[in-house]
Amino acid sequence: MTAKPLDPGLHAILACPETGEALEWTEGALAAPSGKRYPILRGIPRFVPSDDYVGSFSFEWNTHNRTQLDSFTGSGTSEAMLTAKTGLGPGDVRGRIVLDAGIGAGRFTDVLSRWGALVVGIDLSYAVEAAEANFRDRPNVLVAQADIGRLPVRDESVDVIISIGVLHHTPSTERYFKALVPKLKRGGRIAIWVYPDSGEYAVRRHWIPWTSKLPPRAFYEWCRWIVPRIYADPSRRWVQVLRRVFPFSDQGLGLENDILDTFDAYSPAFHFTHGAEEVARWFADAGLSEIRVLAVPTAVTGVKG
Amino acid sequence: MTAESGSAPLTPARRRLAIIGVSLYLLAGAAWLILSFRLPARPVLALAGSFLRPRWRVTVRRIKPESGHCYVAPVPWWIASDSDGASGLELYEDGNRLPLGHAPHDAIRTLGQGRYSHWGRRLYFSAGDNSDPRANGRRYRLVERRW
Repeated sequence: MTAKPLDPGLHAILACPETGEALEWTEGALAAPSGKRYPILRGIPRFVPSDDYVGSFSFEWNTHNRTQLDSFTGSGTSEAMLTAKTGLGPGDVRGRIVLDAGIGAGRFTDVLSRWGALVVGIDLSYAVEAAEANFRDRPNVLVAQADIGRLPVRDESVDVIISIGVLHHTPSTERYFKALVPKLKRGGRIAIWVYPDSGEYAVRRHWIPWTSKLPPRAFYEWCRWIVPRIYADPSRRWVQVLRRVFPFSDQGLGLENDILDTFDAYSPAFHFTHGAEEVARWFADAGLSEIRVLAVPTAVTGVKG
Repeated sequence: MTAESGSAPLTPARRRLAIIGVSLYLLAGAAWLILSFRLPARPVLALAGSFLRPRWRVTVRRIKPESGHCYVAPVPWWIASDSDGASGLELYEDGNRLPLGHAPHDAIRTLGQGRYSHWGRRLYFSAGDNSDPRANGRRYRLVERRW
């Protein structure tokens, strides 16, 4: 299967992650002038040979491929979260090229593409399979499997970059953030949200060395078993104690979301937490201006001068 | 290159095995994290302790007015409270359990009507009819619920 028909604005956006050369779309692969070729499998350009350290995300997003997508739930939850964590609205992205760094199953790309953006969604995990299936009928969405630390995107080609709840799952939140900035056009905006170093995020940080070693399927079955029991009566004393030492997701978005989000919270290989001032300093170090810390803790935006 | 779809569920027997195995593994993890002071020990110890001693039941005494409808009374330090995320105390007024435990303190002060909260070393509470519990002739008892 070859890539789907794409909006012309997205044709020239990809580049060789090693040399920066422009890539030509050919049957079954993207080809660089130097001879390097990147396969297109199941309609998705692949710039990595595997999902490396993010197997848990491959599992969860192919299991819950639509749980958080507004288009399928009929809610506006992801749209509200996108606005709160980036400060962006439809007018900021319509007709513009937006990079969704860490697309997952595509909850935010779903919103951005409906707002009229041309979206490039990148993910290291096989979540790209779910995302591509969700957006197969949207020519304004290009999904690729790649490492966001070595992006297959031309420098200074993107108007807006978002990365919500992703960078803290990479080996270095700061380094991976700084790898995004060169892809931004002059005057372009970048908005990220990372885990704050407080509350349940700080508690979960202690658990990650344990929980990330569990086989994803076994841990997922445990989440499916325990989360409904927790929320059957949250006032019970053992539940209160358990939630104190092992915080479960409680987003008020239904049981399926809480099962997914509990699995998501404990299964990644990396789980870093940060302060808002620390994140704002990365923005300053990267030469960004108009740096704003939003009302949501550790949601920060900036503009490339 | 393959993608783990997650679409193939486990058999019931394997699922039970997975749940038991993960539960045991996480119990070991919790013990390690508590013993190494990375997780708060107090709520867990308090819950465990409630099974190792007689259930705590006591008549509320030394009641003092706090603010509005709210009155306070002392509770021993070794009973885990809502500030530990784990109070198991239930308040009875003349043998009838008051239903609104774990209430915000402002709601106890302004609304009263039997709301109560066990926070730190104190019981914050109000009478069911917002009368003065020191003078309404009713008996107030605290009973510890284990689970």
